[in-house]
Amino acid sequence: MVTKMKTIQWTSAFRYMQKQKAACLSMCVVALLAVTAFLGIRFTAYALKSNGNRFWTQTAFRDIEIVAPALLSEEDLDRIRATDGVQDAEPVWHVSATVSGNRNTEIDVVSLTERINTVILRDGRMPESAGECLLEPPVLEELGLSVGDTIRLEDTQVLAIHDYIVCGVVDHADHACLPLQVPGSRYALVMPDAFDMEGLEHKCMRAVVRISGSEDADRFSDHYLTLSGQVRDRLDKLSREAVPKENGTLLESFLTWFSSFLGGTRRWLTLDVWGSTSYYAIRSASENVATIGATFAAVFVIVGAFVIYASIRRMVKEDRTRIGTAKAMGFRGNEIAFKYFAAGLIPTLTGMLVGVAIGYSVIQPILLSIYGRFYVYGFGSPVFRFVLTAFVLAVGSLIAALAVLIACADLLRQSAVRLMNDRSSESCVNTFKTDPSGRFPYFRLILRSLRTGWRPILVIVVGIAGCMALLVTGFTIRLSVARTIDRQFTDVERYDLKIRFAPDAGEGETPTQDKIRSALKDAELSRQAKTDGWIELTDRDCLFFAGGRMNSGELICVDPEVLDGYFILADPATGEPFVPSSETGIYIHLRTAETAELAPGDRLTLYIDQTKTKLITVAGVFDNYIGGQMILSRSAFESVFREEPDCNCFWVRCGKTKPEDIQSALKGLPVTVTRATEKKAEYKGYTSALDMIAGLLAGVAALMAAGVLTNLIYLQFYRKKRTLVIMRINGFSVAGTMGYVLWESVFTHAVGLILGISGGSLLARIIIGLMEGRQLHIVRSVQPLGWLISASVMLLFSIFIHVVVVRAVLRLKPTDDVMIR
Amino acid sequence: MLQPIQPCVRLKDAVKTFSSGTDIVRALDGLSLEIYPGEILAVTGESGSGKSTFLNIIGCMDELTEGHLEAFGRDMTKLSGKERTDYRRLDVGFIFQDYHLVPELSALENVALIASLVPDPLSPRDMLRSVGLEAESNRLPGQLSGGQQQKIAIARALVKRPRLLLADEPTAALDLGSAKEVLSILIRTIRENPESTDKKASLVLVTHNREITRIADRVIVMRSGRVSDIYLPPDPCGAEALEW
Ligand SMILES: Nc1ncnc2c1ncn2[C@@H]1O[C@H](COP(=O)(O)OP(=O)(O)OP(=O)(O)O)[C@@H](O)[C@H]1O
Ligand SMILES: [Mg+2]
Repeated sequence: MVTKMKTIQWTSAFRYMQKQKAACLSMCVVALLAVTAFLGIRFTAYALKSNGNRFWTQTAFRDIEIVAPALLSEEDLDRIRATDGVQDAEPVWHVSATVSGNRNTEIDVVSLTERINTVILRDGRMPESAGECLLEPPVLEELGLSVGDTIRLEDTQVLAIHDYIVCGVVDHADHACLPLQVPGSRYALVMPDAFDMEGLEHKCMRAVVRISGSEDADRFSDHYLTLSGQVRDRLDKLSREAVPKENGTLLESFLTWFSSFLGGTRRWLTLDVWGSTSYYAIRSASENVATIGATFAAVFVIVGAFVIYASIRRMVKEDRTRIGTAKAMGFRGNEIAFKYFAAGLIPTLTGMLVGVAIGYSVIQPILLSIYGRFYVYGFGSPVFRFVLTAFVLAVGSLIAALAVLIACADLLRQSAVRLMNDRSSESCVNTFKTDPSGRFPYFRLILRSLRTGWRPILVIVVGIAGCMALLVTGFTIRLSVARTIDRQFTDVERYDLKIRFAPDAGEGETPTQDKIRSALKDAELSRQAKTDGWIELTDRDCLFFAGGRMNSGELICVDPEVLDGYFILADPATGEPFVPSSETGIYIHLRTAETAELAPGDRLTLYIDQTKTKLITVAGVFDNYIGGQMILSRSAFESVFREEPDCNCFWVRCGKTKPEDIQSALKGLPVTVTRATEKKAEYKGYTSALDMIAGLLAGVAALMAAGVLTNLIYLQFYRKKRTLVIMRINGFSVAGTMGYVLWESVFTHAVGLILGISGGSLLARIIIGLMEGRQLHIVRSVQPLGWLISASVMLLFSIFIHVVVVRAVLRLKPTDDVMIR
Repeated sequence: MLQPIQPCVRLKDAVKTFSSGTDIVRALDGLSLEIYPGEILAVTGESGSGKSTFLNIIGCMDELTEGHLEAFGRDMTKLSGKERTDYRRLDVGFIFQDYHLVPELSALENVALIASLVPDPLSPRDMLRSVGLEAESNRLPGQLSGGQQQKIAIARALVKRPRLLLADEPTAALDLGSAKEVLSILIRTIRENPESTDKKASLVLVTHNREITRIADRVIVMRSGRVSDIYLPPDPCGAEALEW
């Protein structure tokens, strides 16, 4: 008996859904889009991490890296190996060099290791002698080299050999990301013998360390980070411990003890995975993607729930009499509700299942191929997460079930007689009869329907607001990111060319610096001219310890007066430009201040070179969007470090001269020239993935808006069906009849769009806040252009759907009871 | 005709009020009435006299404001919502003026759906045969005439073997021929019930039509929520003899 009942109930439910196919389809579409977007994005977030992790497992990526400006001896290495939690450690020799090809490029010459931080051979073979080297693909590409070519590496006297044959192409554990994502020099890998071991006394510059139990670890897991963090802290402590001096006096050993007691001097820096820029980039890419996905999902869920509610609500209202009849027949509440649960849950579930498939097999591959451009291993492999999927399906079904329950609960509670009497709540008829001339009390009517039927109006407003919010969020993110890059190159960095050179190179003859000067003078530029000239400064990578962690930055030492026209410092609060004036302090940019919780007057530890480590006071904060610039005046540098900063960089404003001409004039000099436009393009590449994701989501939001608006506008007209028929019977003109409904549309759209703009701007602000990195400050202001685009998209859809529905109403005959099915 | 047995439904001093806006309508105003097993009771009276309200009350579709209702030995005023549903499910069969069939189920499925509500229903197909619509069993309600739909509605009400059949103007929308067919099916069901008296079904038939009251065992006339007259029809007859 029960099964028989079930069979008929299912039959009934399926035929009912067929009848309500428009509503069911729209629920299905919304569920599909929500799950597609959410899971596609989430899977991608997981895939980004797992592909990175796989690469690092293949290359036995170091868990900890030790960077020793003062060099590491064999004893140091032994002490590192003996540290609790350390499984293995290998020495690394490392030096920066310039390589000349069709242009000059900075390159890091790094010694090959055996067990930790290994390479994946892509082409050629491993080196067999000290005169052979391996290159990473970006270097090959940039210099136009191929396997078998010879290159010359110029360094500061650490290399024993300078000419190498390129014997192979490799990916190195340190560079999971391509320069598009993580700029900076790449490696030339040589055998340790290529370094001048005698001169170095066999001491090395770095050590790579693996910790016990990290073989199969997920480097993104908290467990791993805690584990490696503990070892990192132990090694850091070791770096501050006094080195026992063999023949030291009592006073000397007391002094070393005292300085270690103060904690001031570290013999080396200990970096865990966070110290790897590739790790940081992959992790933040994954987290950014996940955040955008989650935020969008939240809105999708709200809109989806409202769409289901609206659809089912309309169905049960339509079915008042039938529900009453069923009650009279003795059907129980759950038996009556079955059909509505089926009509709400089956399309939702179907949509979600299709969404899982599309999310996995379409969205994820699209996103992975967008991101694939950033990684040496490319696309990687997609990921499916069963538990997450099951969770999403369960939560989605639960929300749908709740929406259905709320939609039909009150009707199921009402008595059968009341339902069968079919007294509709809509009773505006008398209002029309009073004034059939065509003049409408619109305002009064809207107020009245707000009072009597606020629920459907709320649903419509929320639906519109939700879609609008998604669109606004998508467009705001796109615009903000694009404006961030523009501002960096119009409001902050104003120079056209950056020329870097090694300060000590070219000894004996005319210094490189002078040659650059004369080349620039020949190009009719003059030193320190504001629009067509150059300035000379120190521009070097640095590390600083603040906010409890090691950070990287770009230290710029310059005479503050000459900065104007080249690099604008502006107060983040007021936007007013200022000239750095402090004689002792450093100027940091906004994100450093925010992430390391630094304010003027606070102090940070600056590591600029092998042995130079100083506590330095923050003098001020300036606005900067991309990059880790820190500004120190030359005099401040001198007073802190007690020496003059080396000039190693020119910033040039080309004025009327073509940058290409200056570039070719400098050809042949041992310098690297970067154009601002190249840097800008590089940043564009870097943000293109986020840009595309935001665009993709805006697209999905637009699709969803189409579905939701169709549903909601039909709902709105359905509610008015009876009134419309009666108005027509009573002789109202078509325009009058339309006016009544359209005014309500104007009201719901106006409120919905305004709420959507506010909500979307807020969401975008939250997402942007989460996307910002330690060296990335995204424009945070609202984007009215985004509002405009989103509102246009919404209104375009809405007008189209209104036209369709209005045409249906125009065909309405006074005898029609049912207008829209 | 009346047998000296216990009534199956007993309504005593029943009051049902509705408040519409400011004024209160007393739809039932101290109504007392008994219904006996196996009887056909016709209820008539002018519009608004409370006939439908009366039917709804004894069918437990609505609750009394005051008074007492007992059905099949149970005090209905004390039942919970679920027990009232079970009463409608197991004991009552409703027939409405405007049929109220499930539009997306076929004739047979409409009957079968209701059959599935009770433990020992009659065969839905037999029911369709007995109302003469076996050939139409696969049609949807929209594809049937009003008379045919009402016959399905009767088959639907009878298939669960209710002890109380409540019909509110079942023939009002039908022509004479269809009305006669519908009524004769109802009469046949009550009369031909072979089982013992206390298991016999009773029919309460609300009608405006004086002629139809001729098929009843007893007729009550209502006015302003009260019984204004009870009489036995002078010459009871079958449905075939009706004429209007
Ligand atoms: N839900 C309700 N709310 C307010 N008043 C009601 C309601 N239902 C019935 N009434 C009123 O109760 C009275 C009796 O109604 P009822 O439907 O029982 O009359 P009836 O005899 O069936 O009339 P008809 O022959 O027209 O069907 C009427 O005055 C009616 O207006
Ligand atoms: Mg009535």
